[in-house]
Amino acid sequence: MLWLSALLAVVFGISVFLGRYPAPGFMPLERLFSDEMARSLLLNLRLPRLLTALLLGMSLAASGAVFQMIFGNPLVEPGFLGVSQGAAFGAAFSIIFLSNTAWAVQVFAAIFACLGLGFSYLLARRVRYGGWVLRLVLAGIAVSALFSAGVGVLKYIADPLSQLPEITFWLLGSLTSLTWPQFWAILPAVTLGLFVAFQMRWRLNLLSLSDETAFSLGAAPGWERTLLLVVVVIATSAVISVAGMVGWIGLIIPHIARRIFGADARYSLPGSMLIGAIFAILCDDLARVMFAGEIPLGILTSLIGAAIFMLLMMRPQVAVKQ
Amino acid sequence: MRNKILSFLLFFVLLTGAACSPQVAPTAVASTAPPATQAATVAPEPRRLRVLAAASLTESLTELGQLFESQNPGVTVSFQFADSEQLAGQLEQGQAADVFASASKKYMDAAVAAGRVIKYDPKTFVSNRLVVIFPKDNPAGLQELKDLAQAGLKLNLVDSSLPVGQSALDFLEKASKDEQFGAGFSAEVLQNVIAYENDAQAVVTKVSSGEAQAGIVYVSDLRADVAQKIASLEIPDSLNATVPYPIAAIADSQSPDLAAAFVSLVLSAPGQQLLAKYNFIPAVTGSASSAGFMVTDALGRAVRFEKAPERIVLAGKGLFMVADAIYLFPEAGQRIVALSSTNQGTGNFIPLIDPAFSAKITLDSSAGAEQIAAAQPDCVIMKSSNANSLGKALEAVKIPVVYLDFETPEQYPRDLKTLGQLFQNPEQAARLSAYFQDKADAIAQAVSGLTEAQKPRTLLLYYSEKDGAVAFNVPPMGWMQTLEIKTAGGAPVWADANPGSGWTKVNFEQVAAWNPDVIFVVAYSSPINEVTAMLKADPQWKNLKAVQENRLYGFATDVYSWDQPDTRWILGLAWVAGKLHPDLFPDLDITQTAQAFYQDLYGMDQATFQKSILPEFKGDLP
Amino acid sequence: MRAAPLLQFEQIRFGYPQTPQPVLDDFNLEIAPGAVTAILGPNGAGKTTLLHLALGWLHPQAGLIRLERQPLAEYRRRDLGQAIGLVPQSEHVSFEYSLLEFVLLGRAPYLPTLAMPEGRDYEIALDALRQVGMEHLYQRSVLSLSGGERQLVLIARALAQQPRLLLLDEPTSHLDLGNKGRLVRLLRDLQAKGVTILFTTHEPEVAAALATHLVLMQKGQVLKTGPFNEVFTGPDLTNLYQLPVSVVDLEGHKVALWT
Repeated sequence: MLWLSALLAVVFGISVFLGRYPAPGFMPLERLFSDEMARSLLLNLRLPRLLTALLLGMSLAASGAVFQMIFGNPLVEPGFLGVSQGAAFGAAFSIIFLSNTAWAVQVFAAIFACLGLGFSYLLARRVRYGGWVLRLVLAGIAVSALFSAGVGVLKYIADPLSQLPEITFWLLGSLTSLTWPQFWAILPAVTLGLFVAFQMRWRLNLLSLSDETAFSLGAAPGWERTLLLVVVVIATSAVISVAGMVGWIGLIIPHIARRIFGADARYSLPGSMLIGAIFAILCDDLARVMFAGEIPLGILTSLIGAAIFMLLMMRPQVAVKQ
Repeated sequence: MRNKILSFLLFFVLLTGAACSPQVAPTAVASTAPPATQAATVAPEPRRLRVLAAASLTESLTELGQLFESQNPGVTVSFQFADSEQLAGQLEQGQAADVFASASKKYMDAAVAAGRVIKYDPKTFVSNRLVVIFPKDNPAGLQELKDLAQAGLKLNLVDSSLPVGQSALDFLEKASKDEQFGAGFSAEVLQNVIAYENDAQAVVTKVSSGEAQAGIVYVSDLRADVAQKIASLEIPDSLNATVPYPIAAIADSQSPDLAAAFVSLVLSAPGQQLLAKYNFIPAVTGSASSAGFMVTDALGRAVRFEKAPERIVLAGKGLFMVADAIYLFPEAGQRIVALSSTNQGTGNFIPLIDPAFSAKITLDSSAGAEQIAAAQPDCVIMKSSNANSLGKALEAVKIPVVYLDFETPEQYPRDLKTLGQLFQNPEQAARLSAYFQDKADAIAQAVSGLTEAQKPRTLLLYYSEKDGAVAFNVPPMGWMQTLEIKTAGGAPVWADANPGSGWTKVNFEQVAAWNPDVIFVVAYSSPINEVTAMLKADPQWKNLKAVQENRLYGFATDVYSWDQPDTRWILGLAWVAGKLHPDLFPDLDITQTAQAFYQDLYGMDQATFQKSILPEFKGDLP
Repeated sequence: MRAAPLLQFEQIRFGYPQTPQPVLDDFNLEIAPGAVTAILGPNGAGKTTLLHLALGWLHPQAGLIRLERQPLAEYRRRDLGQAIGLVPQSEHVSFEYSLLEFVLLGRAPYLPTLAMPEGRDYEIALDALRQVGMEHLYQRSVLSLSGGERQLVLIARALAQQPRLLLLDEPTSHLDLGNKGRLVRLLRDLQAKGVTILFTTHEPEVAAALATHLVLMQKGQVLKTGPFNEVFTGPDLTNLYQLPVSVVDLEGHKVALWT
């Protein structure tokens, strides 16, 4: 875990000097002392962006890990259970009908994300077909589709000049133009989510067991799970509210972390957070440095994430058990 | 456990470090390193700029010419100073020149009439006013203006064929209407005239030598070398003539870039300060004070500039239409250092009007703040739709951003005014606003007599092949396309079909149900002529009234389609009006209209128009 | 004087929402402290439901369940976790926990919500693994175990829980003979330490090998209950399973035979 923290620090440190100013690639250190613009860019754009990428990676990976443990299914992530689409819908709703301020967008993203999750869960319980996992996935797909249709309707009525670009941005995910106010806006929600999940990480193991077993071991599976889900959904929708829908981190990273640290969430959860942060920072480095125009971060994480996922699926150890 | 605490600590150390250290390094080193991306400097070719200027500008423009030469290595400025009337005459006769600075609007108008200066081009760069001068020892005992009428005063004036002489007579006329002076004032004063000189300097010389006891000249005629010998009486504004001096680049200049740059310099803050030193009254608001100026942009933000921006970057998405409007200001080409893509898929207009285009940095339309910063801008202009993303990031690093819309006819004057402030050229903004207003009003006027029944039921369709699927789209009611059709006397049939605020797809059944009298088709990324040919050949479309009556038109297009809220909308409007109501616009020659448009607004000469624009003509254009 | 019962079911009625017929109706039972009680009954008799009620996981619609005279509903959850352990018949595990990590979860009732297990918890967990004979496999993944091994691990987790009342749902269903024997010895040791045991089984010989008391359950009611020897009789078993069963005494062991 220590080496992973060190790696994160190194990646972060290098990334701060990586960018397209003054030329694509590394900015020499002495430039910081001679060039006002270089300093301003680094402090006002790169730092908040990198820190947000760090929070983004940590939150998405942590909530992926929490989702997987709580639903006892290594194949779920917030994106599969209507959370991401719900958050995107809530944010778009807020942009069009209410307010485009960071707080309103975040709050509405969180509310609709929780609604999406709750709706998926209730639907899964009522579906009379297949096992619990299949039902969850089916319900999640249905609810996600519902919300993305909703986003489609909102896109249709959005002002194509001012609102539509904002909404379209949700669907791709990007950290372009991120500044300190947005970082500060999401910091409390993300800290809360990560802190609660981190503190309850051993408890998570217990909650990954069946209800009556968890109960027999002194846990209150119902509300403890709800608490954990709500805090990670709040953290997730907070980062979604500034970064848009960045997929696959929540699915892939916990897998990798479990592979390195074992299933016990005491290690795999913090491991997920660290690996998620490193992964998000590296993907964002690529997004902002590789080409003259920025590649949306969501496209990169999906591309790389899906590739890793395929590799993992082909490895024999990761048997997906029903 | 401990490990995890460590990593959290590290994270917070990074955080707090970021938050409390905006001053990382001492700021003593003030000079900014040159941008790495700037084009390498090439040894400039020797070039010449020929300026024709009114005699009263001799000292001031000579000094300004030296400044210009120092700023543009390799350029020699040669002046010809003479009477404005004489210079206008030379221009009429075809004398080659690059810039004309006149002491009177009258002679600039003559140059415009002769076709040497584009109608909307001249700008007032200074103004002048009359002053009564007398020798310091005041032999006639002049105390106030009334004393000019005292018998026996030896008064020296300039001949009325020169602007200053005429202005002096105007002043006397006005004074005679003022009861303070009395109706006989003018006549009494004129009796005192000992001579009418052929230029103002002669008056100044005679007064300074004491040969004359008083004279009336422009304040700019007071040379430094005689200043100690001469005293003056101010003429109040109510009686004075504030004479505007217009300047313009010559339309057929061999060095249009230098000409525009020289005019810019004259209008810039340093130029205006220099002229003020020679007793001229600066014409450009705000430039007289060196304390900077404010620009109010499309979002209502007031942006402060300490000095005129010299490194402007045009950035963000949806730029090309805005860029075309920015280039309506002749200063723009000189000051823009980088711009994001202005190619709509079928061509790029800016290189045709900006000779320095190839030296400019081309940005990707999704370029981030870092790449824009790498161009070292002192001002970034973009569409207001970028405000929440890119704009916010640029403002975070303290790069001034000016937002524009240029989406509807209403926004044109507003955004032109913004650009007028930015380029410190409000005259150009007013002139352009008037240009668009006049043209649009003329068409609105021509169709104003139509009853609703006389307005053809019109449909505008945007043919798109996005994602491999053909779609027909109608614009929302508030868009330029719809407004063009309404203004040109058409009745849009799709009024209820698009409740949204972007293009909305419609299917053929709906088109058939509308069965409009006239159909306009636009296609931004497909060849419009092929699209219209295909539609006309389509058996289903053949049943439509518009196709049968041969009133399905491909929207006029050159480099860009004319339907959009680009500067070409005014051309699009004229073209639509001609198609909808050929009877009301029998004399419309759209090619000539277009040529005049490019000439008037972009200073494009006929040859360039023939070479670069005419071959791009697509859609239903001759 | 008879000792106070450890666990009492008083006129319990319980039904699942989906089914109109209650699973248990007017159910009464007392479990004496230190007793090893086997519950025999045909499929669907309500045996597992009974265990879940005893655990406090399910709440009766009528009647009262008392643990050490105090109604179960009044217990704090953590105290219940320390008092009662459950060994489910099988358990779905989604992640590759090591045996040690898995058995450590048995310590949860003794730890505050946000605490982590410490040295003593590891000792207890390792000891529990040793009791089921799997100490040497503590780093193995739970998912790599066979069904029988997994059942032993579940028992080890319950041992780490150190409950006063241990509920086992068909604990021998996946075990081979050797492991059955090991389990029987293990439970006898626990009984000797004073742990009260309640288990369901379909195997009369397991009941015979372990139980001091027997409950025969049929259609949600107690058919007969009492000391093992009084209830484990041919007529009673015949009555229970609706199948001719005879009980023979073979060198002090009672054996049920059916034809």
